[in-house]
Amino acid sequence: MDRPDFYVLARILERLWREGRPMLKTRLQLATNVNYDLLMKYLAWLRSRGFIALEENDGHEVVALTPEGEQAYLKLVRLMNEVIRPQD
Amino acid sequence: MERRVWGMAIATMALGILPIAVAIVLLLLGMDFFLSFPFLVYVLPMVGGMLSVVFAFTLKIRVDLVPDERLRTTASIARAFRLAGLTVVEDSQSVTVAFDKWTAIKLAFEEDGGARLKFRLDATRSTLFAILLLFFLSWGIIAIPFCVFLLIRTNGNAMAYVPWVLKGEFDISPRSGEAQSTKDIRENLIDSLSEVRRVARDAYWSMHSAMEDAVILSVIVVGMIGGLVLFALLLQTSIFDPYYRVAASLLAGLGVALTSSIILAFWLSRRMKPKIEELDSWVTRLDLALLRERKEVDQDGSESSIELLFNAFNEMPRFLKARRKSMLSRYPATQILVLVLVLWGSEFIAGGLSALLSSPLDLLPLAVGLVMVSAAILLYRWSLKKEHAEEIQIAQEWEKRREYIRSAVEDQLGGI
Repeated sequence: MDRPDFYVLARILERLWREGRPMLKTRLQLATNVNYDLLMKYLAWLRSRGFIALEENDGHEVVALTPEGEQAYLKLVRLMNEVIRPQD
Repeated sequence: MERRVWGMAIATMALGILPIAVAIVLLLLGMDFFLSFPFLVYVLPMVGGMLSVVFAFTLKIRVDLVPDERLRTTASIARAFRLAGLTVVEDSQSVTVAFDKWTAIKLAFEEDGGARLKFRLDATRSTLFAILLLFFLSWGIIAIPFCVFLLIRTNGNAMAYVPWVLKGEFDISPRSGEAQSTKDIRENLIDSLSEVRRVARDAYWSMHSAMEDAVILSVIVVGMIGGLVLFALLLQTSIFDPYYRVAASLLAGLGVALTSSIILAFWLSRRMKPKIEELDSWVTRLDLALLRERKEVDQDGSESSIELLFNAFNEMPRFLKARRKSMLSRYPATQILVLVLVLWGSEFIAGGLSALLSSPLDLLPLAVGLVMVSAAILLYRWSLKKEHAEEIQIAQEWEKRREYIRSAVEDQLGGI
């Protein structure tokens, strides 16, 4: 993937963080509203950077947010807060 | 709290009427001076209005004890109101909270305990503008019901927010078993969403009041001036039977004024409504996101908060521009002056035109009127130019922020 859409990345990270536990790929696809093939590409990209991990659960592959992924999401949220905050 | 406000509203009304009652008593005692025209028409209503304004804006209302100990400081109260999405200005002693265009309160802790709050009405720019205009136009008596309206409306807004804020309803309390990083994320999301929601809500109200202002101004400028000029012209012509001339001119002037005002008001509101509705939908989306973050009400497919924030971030220059657009309250002194010049100028023009028809050399009133209206136009154009320069500055600042966030995101996520 050349240049992933930042919005989609943020959406996936947020969904995994909100869930608080590993998610089935199909559920993640439904929750993030991303085309399945595209989701696979994004998951590969996130995995290559250590933000997510793929695990086995009852014979199904599930997606888990790693501590690095959670930190990356926290940094994004903090960054957003920093630029938005003082408006008066 | 509520009973006290109703008592204040009644007292405000009674105080306003008091000078008139005193005048009646003095009149009954045979002091005929109080029947004099300027006293009855100007002085008494002004005094009554002023008493009501002073009373309504200085009396303090006590609030119940602040139950949450963490909220017993000015800074924490300010933060709690901000998290509730309200516009807040704080200093070391007090917190001013604006609920809408007309209502605001100034809160402070009582000196003795530090756990009990009191508040009084505070004037928003629109309120101040309206009160000044009422006194300037010698309609001081209207300030009495206006103050009662402000008291009741402020109380309604205060009742809708203060108890919940003081119970810590909008605060981000730690949840059991929640990791620090999860709490940090939640806090940052709620802070950012509250801020964007506050700006979007201000933008919505500004746009709304800009529409109202535009309608009022167009009704005054087009309707009143057009009607007055037409009335003055028709009065001097021989179109109508001399016997009915005044009535016919008045009817024609009034008819044109009303019709043109209604058409213009309809056209203006139709033109501005889509923008207002769009801002309203932003506020709703941000409200839903805030609710989700606070209460963890969540379901698959619901809008992502971070994505919503990024989208809203891109809209911020537009929100800020709309927030500054509330014309009559943006530069109150300039706008009051423009309004006064237009009102007086149009009276001079109408009088001048009618004088000109009877005596062609009597140009002075018309010239004065034209100078006043021209000055109003120049002043208005100057304020528009100033506003435009500020808008450019805001856009440039936000473009810088956008650049910053773009490069920071690339750093954080490793070369997007």
